Amino acid sequence: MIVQLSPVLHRVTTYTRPEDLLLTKGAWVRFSDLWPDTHKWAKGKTFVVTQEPIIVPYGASYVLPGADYKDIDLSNATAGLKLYPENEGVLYETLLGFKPGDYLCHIYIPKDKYVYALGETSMFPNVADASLKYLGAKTPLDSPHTAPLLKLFSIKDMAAYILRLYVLEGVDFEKCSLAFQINKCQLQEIPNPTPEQLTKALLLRYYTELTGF
Amino acid sequence: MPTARVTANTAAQALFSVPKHVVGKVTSVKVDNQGGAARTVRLQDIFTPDVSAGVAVPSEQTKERLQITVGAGLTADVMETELRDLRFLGAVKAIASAIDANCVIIVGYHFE
Repeated sequence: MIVQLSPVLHRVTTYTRPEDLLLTKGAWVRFSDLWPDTHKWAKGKTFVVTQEPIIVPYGASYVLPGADYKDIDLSNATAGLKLYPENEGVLYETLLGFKPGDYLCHIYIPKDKYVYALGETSMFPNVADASLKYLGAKTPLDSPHTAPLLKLFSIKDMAAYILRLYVLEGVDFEKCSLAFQINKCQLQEIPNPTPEQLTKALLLRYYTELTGF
Repeated sequence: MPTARVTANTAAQALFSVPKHVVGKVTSVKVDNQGGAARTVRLQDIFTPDVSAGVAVPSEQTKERLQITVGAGLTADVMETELRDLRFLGAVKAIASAIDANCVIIVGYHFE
């Protein structure tokens, strides 16, 4: 559901760019069994990408004061950026890159359920805390807009990704600019996947599988 | 690389506006003051922030990013190294200590 590529890929660009690692025609994806029945068409099933990628660039920017934050909803909710598919059988693979600036980004899915927490109960991201604001926070260096390394996968009516953009204290105002590359993938179910397909398919886990350990 | 030219005025004179998804970088500032007195020129950055968790109704902000005083009959160039860290977020304007058609301000810029 969320993939962050190794930063080394940002430098090893002679033959491979992070964009080259997007799903393409013929790629296999598999949804885990823990997807809920509201996504029955995908739950536990394996698919093949049937078309060459159609990549849609998009951007969003916010000027925010220092020591303050704003939550950005990526879903198709009324107040969201509406970056999700509207049809079943479609997967959006979204590269998220950050333009330079003095800000952090925390990722939640759904709202108020942080992804990057640790096991100890007090170790969760908290922009109101001097130390915990850095826990699990992504910076522009983690996924530069020129070579984005952070991938978010979405399907129709999936829980909303929330990006909490926090401008560091000591900064007057900052422009937080997000660059999206949305790879629209049309999927076709593989009714009886082979062991090889099951092993090699990109596993898309449900968000509840990303936390709790 | 684009440039913008205005003459000294006590009312803020528009130089350029920064598009939404980029910041403005000023790469050169030249003030040619052929008037009869020293002039002080300031570069302003005018923008309205977005709604944030702490500010439900943000108000327009005017931030002064650069100030330079140039004597009568002199020309001043601000070195690029001194401008390198300046980032403009909104409308960029020049405002001067007096109205003077003989004091010309030329700014070079680009977007990142």
